[in-house]
Amino acid sequence: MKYFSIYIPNAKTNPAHKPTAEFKEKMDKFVGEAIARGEFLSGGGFLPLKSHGAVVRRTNGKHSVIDGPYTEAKELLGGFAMLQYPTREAAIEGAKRFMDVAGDGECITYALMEQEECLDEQAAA
Amino acid sequence: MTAADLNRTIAAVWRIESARLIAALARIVRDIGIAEELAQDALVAAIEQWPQAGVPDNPAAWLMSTAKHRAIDKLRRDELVQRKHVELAHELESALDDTNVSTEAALDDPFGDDLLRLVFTACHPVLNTEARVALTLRLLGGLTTDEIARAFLASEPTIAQRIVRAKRTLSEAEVPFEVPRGAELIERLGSVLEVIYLIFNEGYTATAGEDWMRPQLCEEALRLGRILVGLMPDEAEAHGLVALMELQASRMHARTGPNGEPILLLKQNRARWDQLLIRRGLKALALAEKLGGARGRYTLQAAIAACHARARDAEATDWARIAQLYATLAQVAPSPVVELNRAVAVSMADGPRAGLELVDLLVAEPALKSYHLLPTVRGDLLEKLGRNEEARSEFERAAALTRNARERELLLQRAATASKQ
Amino acid sequence: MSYMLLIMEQAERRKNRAPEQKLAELDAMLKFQQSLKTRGIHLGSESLRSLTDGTRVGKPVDGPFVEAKELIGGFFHLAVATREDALAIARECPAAQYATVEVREVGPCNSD
Repeated sequence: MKYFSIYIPNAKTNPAHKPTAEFKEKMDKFVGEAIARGEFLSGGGFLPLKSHGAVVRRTNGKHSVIDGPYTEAKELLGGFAMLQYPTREAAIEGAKRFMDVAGDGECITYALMEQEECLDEQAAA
Repeated sequence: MTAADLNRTIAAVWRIESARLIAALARIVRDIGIAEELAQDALVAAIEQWPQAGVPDNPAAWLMSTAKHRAIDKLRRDELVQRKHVELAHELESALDDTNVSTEAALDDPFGDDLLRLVFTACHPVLNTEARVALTLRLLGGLTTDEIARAFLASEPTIAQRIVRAKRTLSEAEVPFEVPRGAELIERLGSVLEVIYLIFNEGYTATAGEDWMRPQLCEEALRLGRILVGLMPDEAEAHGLVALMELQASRMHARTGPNGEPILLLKQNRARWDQLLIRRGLKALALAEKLGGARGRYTLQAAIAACHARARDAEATDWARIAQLYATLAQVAPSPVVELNRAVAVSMADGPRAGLELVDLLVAEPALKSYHLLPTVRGDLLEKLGRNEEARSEFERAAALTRNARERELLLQRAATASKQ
Repeated sequence: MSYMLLIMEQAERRKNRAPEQKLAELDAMLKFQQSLKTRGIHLGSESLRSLTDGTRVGKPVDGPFVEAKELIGGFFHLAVATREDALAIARECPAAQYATVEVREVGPCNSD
């Protein structure tokens, strides 16, 4: 089953910092193995909202772009991944193993709505 | 919104919407030059009015509606009538007066026919390749003249002239605004694919100048390829081309080191390869093959790129399969460059001596006279065989031939290393 | 270069919406997705199930996610080069009418 997961590092115990060479190596290895097992399909890091993103909301027909200030969690949205696991339990395990490498935080994992015909499977484009 | 924000927003809207806008207008006025002028007029109006009125909820529809009104104004001042036949003016008038056609519907174009017509017109064989590339980037990519000039290291006036002349050529040749059919379609499609891949390659290999690559061009080519696939989902080679570009692009973040130095494929950190693009590329390749395109030139090249993408590390590469694919490509789209690539694959599968035998056959090939990769490959194989003096001289020859500064540095380094052996 | 649109919905609204409304909203999202494909900027998109089918692992981080009042209803991954491009698309997204659309620039996985 496919899952979409968001990882939010804990600002207090795992603050944003430039990754060390050792960290990158560990992460590369982790991701490489996850790819080989068919668990990691794709992923990316999120850049900070304030400088690299925005929030758009529409109220009463008018759009407004909200640039901040944001609550802490929004600033820290670490990254996302598209994953494949046989069971929800395996997804939970995977999240724990990921955070062993990535550090303290929270992984929020959603099952996709249409498993039989995933929206991005329908065409190659 | 600050003035700077607004300008960037307008530029973004233009990039995203201008192709569909120009295509829809071209269907009405049957001339892409006039269609572009009308679209540009609407853009100017947006720049004038949106600071006060705000960005409209549906910017595309606003631009379309404005373009139409500008066309009516022009008509009343008789400019268009003088430019084209009187019939056109009448057609335009009646199209604009058709109050049953809503602005949204005019832009809706659910089967993308207008966009497809625009694609084929911009890539028409009556234009030379440079003109097709410039026109495609301008009309379909929404790039400014300046952006195109910078991408191809030409001057802005040169590109501007190129585009003006291209439109005039199409107008004078009375090229119809339509999608070709049957045998002509296949041939013309080849021209479209060629233009898109040329743009991609220019971005991916940056044949001249200081940069190792120009990612923006790759992104543009990918977008054009995906648009084409969306418009022609049954065309195997369109999927093949997108597959090729996605698989190559998947390596973009791994191709340069921390100091901007180029890193060759076999030495890249594969953890940096973009898995999303690899997945998409492999899917597109599978679809191209399913549609019967396994022997298409782009599909074959994509299959080769897929061999690399599937290998967990360089040692796991299926070189025998790559050599086989190049052999097929050599039948389908023979060229000395394909032969050279086949030689490399053979050398990896069967050893440098086997590869060198094939490369030596190409040394006298006139088409490869100024192709820096020939001496590069030869140098590499000679080095592997311990023939270091000869290797050094080949790397030096290659360095002298390349127009890319970074590549030259790399080759001179290899020459120095070989001479130290 | 890519950007992601995260559709942040209120959990209550998701729970209480009528089936016809759900279908209409999904339909609008599909049309939106199709228009992204036509413009060659669609990299991926999904509708997501509620968190009862998913999981939360780790110590909750301060912020709206904790209370589970808000959830991610879906996402669109866009092949666009600038924040303004992404914002222009976000404004068009039908979900902006009933949800908040977060626009995030995506960096390479495990980047420098």
